[in-house]
Amino acid sequence: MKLHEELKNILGPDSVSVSSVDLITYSRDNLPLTIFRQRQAKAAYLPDAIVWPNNYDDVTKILKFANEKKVPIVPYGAGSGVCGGAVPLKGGIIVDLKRLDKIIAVNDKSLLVAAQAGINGQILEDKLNAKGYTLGHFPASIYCSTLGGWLSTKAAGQLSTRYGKIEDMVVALTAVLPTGEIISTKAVPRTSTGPTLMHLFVGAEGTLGIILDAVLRIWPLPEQRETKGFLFNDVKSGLEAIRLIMRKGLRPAVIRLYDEKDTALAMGSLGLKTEKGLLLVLGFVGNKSIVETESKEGFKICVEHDAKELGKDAGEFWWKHRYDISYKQAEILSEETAILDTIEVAATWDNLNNLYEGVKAVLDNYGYAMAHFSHAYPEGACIYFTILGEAPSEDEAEGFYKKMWDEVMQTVINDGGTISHHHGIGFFKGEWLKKELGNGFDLLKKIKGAVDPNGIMNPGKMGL
Amino acid sequence: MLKDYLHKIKLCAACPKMCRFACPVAEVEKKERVTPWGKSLTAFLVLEGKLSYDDPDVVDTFYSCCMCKNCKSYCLVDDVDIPAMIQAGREEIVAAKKEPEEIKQFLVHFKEFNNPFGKDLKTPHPSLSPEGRGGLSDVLYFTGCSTLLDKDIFNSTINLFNKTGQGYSIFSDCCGFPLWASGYAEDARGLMAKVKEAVLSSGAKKIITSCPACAYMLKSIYPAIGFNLSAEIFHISQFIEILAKEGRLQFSRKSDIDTAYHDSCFLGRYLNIYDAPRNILSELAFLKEAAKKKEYSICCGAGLYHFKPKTAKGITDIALENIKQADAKQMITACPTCKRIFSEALADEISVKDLTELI
Ligand SMILES: Cc1cc2nc3c(=O)[nH]c(=O)nc-3n(C[C@H](O)[C@H](O)[C@H](O)COP(=O)(O)OP(=O)(O)OC[C@H]3O[C@@H](n4cnc5c(N)ncnc54)[C@H](O)[C@@H]3O)c2cc1C
Ligand code: SF4
Ligand code: SF4
Repeated sequence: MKLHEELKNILGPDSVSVSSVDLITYSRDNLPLTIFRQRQAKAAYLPDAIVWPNNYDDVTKILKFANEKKVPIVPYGAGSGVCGGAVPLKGGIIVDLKRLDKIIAVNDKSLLVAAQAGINGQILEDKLNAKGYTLGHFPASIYCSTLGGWLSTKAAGQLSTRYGKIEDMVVALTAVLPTGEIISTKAVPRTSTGPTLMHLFVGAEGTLGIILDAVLRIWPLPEQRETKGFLFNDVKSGLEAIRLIMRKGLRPAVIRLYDEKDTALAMGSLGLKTEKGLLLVLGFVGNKSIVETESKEGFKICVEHDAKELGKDAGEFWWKHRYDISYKQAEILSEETAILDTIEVAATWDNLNNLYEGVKAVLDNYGYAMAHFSHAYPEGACIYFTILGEAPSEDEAEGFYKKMWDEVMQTVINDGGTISHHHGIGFFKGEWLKKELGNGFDLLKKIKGAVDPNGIMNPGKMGL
Repeated sequence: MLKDYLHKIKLCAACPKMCRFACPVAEVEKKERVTPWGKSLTAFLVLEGKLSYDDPDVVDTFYSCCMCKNCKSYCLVDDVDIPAMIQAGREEIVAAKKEPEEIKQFLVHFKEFNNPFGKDLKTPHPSLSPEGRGGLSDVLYFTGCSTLLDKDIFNSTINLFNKTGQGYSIFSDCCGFPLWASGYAEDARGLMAKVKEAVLSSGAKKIITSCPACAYMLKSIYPAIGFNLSAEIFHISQFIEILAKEGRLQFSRKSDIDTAYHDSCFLGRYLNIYDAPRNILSELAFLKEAAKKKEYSICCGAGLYHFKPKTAKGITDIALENIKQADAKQMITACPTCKRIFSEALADEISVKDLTELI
């Protein structure tokens, strides 16, 4: 019997497809390399079949079947991942989880939401907002990504300094192993019961199992928001202000410093009019009196570092346009030789400027390189580079692009940064993960071998 | 032709699917190909010769759109217009005789009585007897077919005209929208030509419709294919506002019933009419807004019932969930089709009425 016939016997005809158009629309995610192929009307990586499980039992059945037949399984959320995590590198079955999209429960007293993995980010947030809560997770891809994807890539939202990254939000989860067993962890505030099993799946990019649902912390909708824009003269003084804000124990919702080029091109293209300089957006949300106190302190630190205050309008401008830059991808990447990508790395404060200068020097050879510093911590911050370049020709785009990435990754490793702050590894950075983890990678491999002995879960991802 | 949209199709196919969560079809079916991005990628690959209309799933993709235009409300990319691109694709599919069986059946069904409801709507309508048509007037009440199906909307509109001393004549044929939207451009054109002749010979200077899709067709599509109607087109909500402003209409007592208003896709996103119905409604009832409103309002799903009833029902459910969040006792629409879809789905849970029925 053919694969799709067997799958149809297991799941029913409405939940399986092998039609060309379905296969092609699952042949890429948002890794630019795969978009280069698409714009040449080529499929990057074709799956053999796509399935849409309707319930947990369907997922279990698919995994048991694939494990027995040794067919690759590729979990798929919304395909917004930017590292090739959801592409069917070795063919096999795409398991699209979006039909698992229910909010299971909202617990007001304990401030928790339980939701299924396939729910779209904005829809989850809208539904929470309607009940008076927020999850506080706002990746720029919130419109086009899922909860399962967030957990699997260890995603970070724009307000992460206030609300935490996804790993700070998740309290418990349910996952299916490749052998079909379902593992559920307990929803408790904390537990001292050995290594946290839940975290085996957070950031695992579908290589160890499929996440079915999760329990997450939520917050009452904030009472107040105070945001201002500031213009700094240089990276050093901007970073110093951020460092001191974090050191003081303030918890800004937004704290982002755009370097001069990012301020001019990215923010400028959205319509922000400023003089030359570096834009810092600093915003606080939450309880009114706390916000008032924190913002006063935070704004003061900026002024003390010779920043020019741009006021609340610049702050509100940021809120209004905070997802808009993502749309620019359409205009840029539809051009035949255009290169556009984002590279998010992180380092401690003592090393941050060094890392910034190092990566920037590499990227400057490949096009217009800009960066902003987001996701600040008392110990350091993330640097989010954007590179806008042009390959010598359509056919050379992939080579040009890979070379650029290799040079950047090597620089990050040399300079003591991490190769990814929140986008993950996918297949594309697999080799670099080995370098990043050293012999830790061997342990990861052993874990993989024990959980997924037949290697069916998302093969080729994370170097596994 | 689809290839006229190539540039925009390419842009959209390179987008990170930013509007996907707002596409009701994608939210119900969960397949990548029916997202606005998926539709564009499919179209791109058709134009590149990698996919063809011989593939039933390619055809299905073009018909998996309720033309609600919600994607447009979230799209910041240089004038990408999915419904327009879909329309062009459907016309090519029909020209190649590759449309789905359900759509072919729909045409047969339509041709029986020249409306999508498969029945004679006029004979049983007493008000359409010659003496019930009002006097000769330069105001033409263009009921189209869907208003004719709903006696309450029809009667309250006629009462409104009578009450305000507004003379009117009536035209009650289908405007051609169901054929046009299904890709039957030629059939639609034939019907629209007759409508045009009738409207011109009526001498109407003002055309009033209850149905937003009729208003859109008469205002935008007729002129676009060269059918000039030499008349101003008004949706009834706009006309009521004019009557009130001119002092010809006093609103009845304001009720204190919590009332949610549903923006129809055609009245809202296509015709940009959001305020007129709200202004009227706030004189008549206590307006409570749903979370998604105005340009972000959720489609009732009507455009897909004849082709994909299960998907259409899923869309209706999403729209109702949104409306229910307003926690209102009654729901008002200004579109006969939305009213029909929602009243069927809600049974007696919440009463659904057209704006005119409140006056
Ligand atoms: C415009 C844009 C902006 C972005 N902004 C941000 C940002 O601000 N912050 C950020 O962190 N990221 C961002 N990203 C990256 C991306 O959105 C995230 O990585 C997101 O978490 C991926 O979610 P998804 O549902 O699309 O997952 P997919 O791309 O479908 O999958 C990602 C990985 O997770 C696996 N996976 C998906 N669901 C499951 C599951 N249920 N169980 C097991 N494995 C699963 C897949 O196999 C794959 O390896 C952005 C991307 C785009 C295109
Ligand atoms: S319609 Fe606009 S926002 Fe939606 S996918 Fe296409 S380009 Fe992106
Ligand atoms: S018009 Fe509506 S149904 Fe069609 S693609 Fe856009 S959002 Fe989806």
